[in-house]
Amino acid sequence: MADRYWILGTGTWSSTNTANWSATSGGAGGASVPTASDNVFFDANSNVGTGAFTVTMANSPRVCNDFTASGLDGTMTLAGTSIGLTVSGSLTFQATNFNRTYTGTTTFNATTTGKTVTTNGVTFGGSAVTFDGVGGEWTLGSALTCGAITVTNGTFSTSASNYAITATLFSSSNSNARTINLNASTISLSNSNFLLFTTSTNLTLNAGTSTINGSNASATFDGGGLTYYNVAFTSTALASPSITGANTFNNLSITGRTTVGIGVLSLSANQTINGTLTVSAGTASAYRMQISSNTVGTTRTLTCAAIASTTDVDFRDITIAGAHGTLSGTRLGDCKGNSGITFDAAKTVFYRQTGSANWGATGSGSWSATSGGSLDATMFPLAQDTAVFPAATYPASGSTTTINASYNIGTIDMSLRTSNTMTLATSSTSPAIYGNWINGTGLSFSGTGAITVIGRTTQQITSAGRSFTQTFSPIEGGTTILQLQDAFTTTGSVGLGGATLDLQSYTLSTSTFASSTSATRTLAFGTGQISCTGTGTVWNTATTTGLTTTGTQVVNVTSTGSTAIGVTTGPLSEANSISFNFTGGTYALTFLGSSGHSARNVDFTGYAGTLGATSSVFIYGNFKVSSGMTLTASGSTMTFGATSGTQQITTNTKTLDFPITFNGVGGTFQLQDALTAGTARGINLTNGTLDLFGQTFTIGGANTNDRFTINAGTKNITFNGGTLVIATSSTIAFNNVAPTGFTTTAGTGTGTISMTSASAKSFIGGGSTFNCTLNQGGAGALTITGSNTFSNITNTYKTIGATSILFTAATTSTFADWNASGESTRLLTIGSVTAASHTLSKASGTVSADFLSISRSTATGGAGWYAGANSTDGGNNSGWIFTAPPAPSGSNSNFLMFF
Amino acid sequence: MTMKIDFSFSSQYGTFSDALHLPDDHAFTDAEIEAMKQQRFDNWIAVITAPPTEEV
Repeated sequence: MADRYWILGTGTWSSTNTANWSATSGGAGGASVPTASDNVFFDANSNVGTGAFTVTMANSPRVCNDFTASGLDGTMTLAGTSIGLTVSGSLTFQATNFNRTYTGTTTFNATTTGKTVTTNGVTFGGSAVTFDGVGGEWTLGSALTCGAITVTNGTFSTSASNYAITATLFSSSNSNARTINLNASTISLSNSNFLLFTTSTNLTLNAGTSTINGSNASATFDGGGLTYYNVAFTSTALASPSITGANTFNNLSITGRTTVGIGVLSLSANQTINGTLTVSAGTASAYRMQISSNTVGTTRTLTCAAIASTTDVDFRDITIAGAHGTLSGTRLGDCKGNSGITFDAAKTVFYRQTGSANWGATGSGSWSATSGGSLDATMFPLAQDTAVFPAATYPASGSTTTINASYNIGTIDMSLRTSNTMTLATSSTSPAIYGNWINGTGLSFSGTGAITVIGRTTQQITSAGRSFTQTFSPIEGGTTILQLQDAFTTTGSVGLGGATLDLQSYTLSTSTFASSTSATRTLAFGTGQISCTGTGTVWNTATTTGLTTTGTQVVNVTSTGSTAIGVTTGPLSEANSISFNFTGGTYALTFLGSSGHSARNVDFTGYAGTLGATSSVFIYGNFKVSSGMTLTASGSTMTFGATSGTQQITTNTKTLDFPITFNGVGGTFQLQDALTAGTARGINLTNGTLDLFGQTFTIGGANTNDRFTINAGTKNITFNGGTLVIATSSTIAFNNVAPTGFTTTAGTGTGTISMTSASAKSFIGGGSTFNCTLNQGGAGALTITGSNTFSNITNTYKTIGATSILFTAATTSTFADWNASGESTRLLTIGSVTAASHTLSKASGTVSADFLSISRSTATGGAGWYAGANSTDGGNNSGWIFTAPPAPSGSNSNFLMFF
Repeated sequence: MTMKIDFSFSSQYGTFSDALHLPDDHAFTDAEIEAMKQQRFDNWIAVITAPPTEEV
């Protein structure tokens, strides 16, 4: 440890400059730059004569053991831009002739006790001061003024002299062993997050009889669950202060507002006040405070030994407990969820301003006890009250009444405003509504602030044909049921939190709708619909946990423009799924773009934009593509999953270029026009009925992934004259993986499965019965595996070229009819896949084929199997008759009878 | 006391369902009531077909 004295006045305290350092006061320069173990002195010999001088710190934070500025006879400025000072011992600033202008952090890192910090009235300005030394102990030798003060390690004390601290914030949030002794000091803090003891593990706070004042309008006290003495929120314009941690106080004081409006103190935990809770009244009844739980429906308890007289305060989810007993006061507003508080009885008040004015006003206010009565300052409407606007005069027709703060409002009854018009303005304020909202036909609105609906009871809103401009969000409160009484329209948005929104079968029109939370909530449509008129994400139920929907569940996206729109449905269950109609526009649409998301009926009629790639999603109803829209290809599967009814699929010639799965036990999926799947897209039938309904379902092209697979489940293909065209060249082109539970139904007309690939392909029948025609429709050999039953078998490729139908050896294929033939020079080969025989069976009648080349084929069952006069016997056949069938004997008889 | 008259209009933008709340002793004629219904619907169409307000 050495001593270093500054000499020669102005200079740089850097890591290399030794010219200004001496080993003795006023001695020769050239001493080494101080280290963390060296004491530094700035004294009467540090300058030249008595001139002012500046010591500019440079490089990394300057270090020293003790820092002493004392005896200065000229003004010294300790400067440095963003350069800190680390003091391992004590610090003493001289009260006069000393300025500090450096802007870095001053860190005290001693690891031994007995250190002092004496600034003698010299402020650190906005610069931070940190105490961070394991085993270190620092005691103030004078009041401390700085930016953020942080205790990271060690023991910090304001001293027995109770020196004050004035700082932006006081922080000690970690798990290090540390102690803070506040004695009887006053701690004045100005930042919004003024006390940050959030993690108080291993923190010993000795609050003494200290007072902590937070002066910010939105002061947050993160107390960490510790015991404090007096804490006060001192702003006279409190807006959104908060307290976190389950703390204990002696006195807790909230200063009343001197500006019109309402401040909301949010509590995230219970608080204990062993002295007095004081919530001071504001200037008038419209200058209010609100004390609330930070979570709607979760009560916070204030256990109070005493409570000062309380006036013009609203409470929400607050329980008053403790020795004070029930809180009674003046004009206490009941925002629900409270206990231990006696509220004013609900009353009806009447607007009394004659012209444009504010809801909350100073002096006599804006309200009267009677319609047309005198202004009465005590009649400010509380959350439990009904505020009525008289039919005329109050205000005069054409006037504007502005809800000028985020007040808690009960019922607003403006039903009498008809021929005498008025505008209700909210600007950007966010009032909360606890009762009904009743418009008259003469109402207009302005303002874009969000209105919270939170009455925890049934609340009705009557629009009277008037369109709102405000956002209504959130609708919350658990037991809140917001019921429409007629159509509701807002150019703002609607947000549903933990509550019920009951359309009562009316139409709700909004720019956007959102309900993405895990809260229990219900969206009841009845037969009503929601129209989303905006752009961007017009619908968002991304998080569907806790969401129940009832009724017809129809949402219309009505944009006719080109600005992109997103509809985020979330993974709604079939029962809760919602139908979406996209009625116009050319916008790019993001819809069903996330895995698991779902919709009920989807109708794009009128929409002419591009639907972005869909993810692995579910459709529980109809799916109707418009002729003007563009579908984006996707490798993710769209599953049609309805479990009841008939769901219609209309593609308007658009290719569905994504894998498709039909998987709804009990559901029927019915084509309304031809459906063409994209190349490389597999089709799966797992549960439910695929009703071709006379249409053609074409699956893929040359890609081997374009297969049609029948999976484990209860499933059916109903043809009704429709055709399943499988163009895939694959050994599993038609793959009945799980024949159990698989049936086919012919329905009306003749259905067909046509295997059209020009390359070899397989029909894996699984031994099932196919009440349709199996057609060889391409040049590639068709291999049929399994002992299946078919209504018919045909070969439509014969007019183009020769091809083959091969059966698996040792299988028996049963046919009600056989119409597979070749043509001259284009023989149809009938054979086995391997060098063994297969069996073909037909119970009765006559098979009349021709131009076949048959080998290893056993024809049986009772029918006459005539291969035709132009067929060839390739050997190892049985039952085939290589002639044309005889002419029906009955025909000649009839001919003769005719004559 | 008031009476409530529910009504609906179908449109390409979906079904518009609304209600008129009128005094029991109102003096509106049927034609006037129908006109009010139509006016409500026209207003709704005007709102939902208005160009979206750009966010600022």
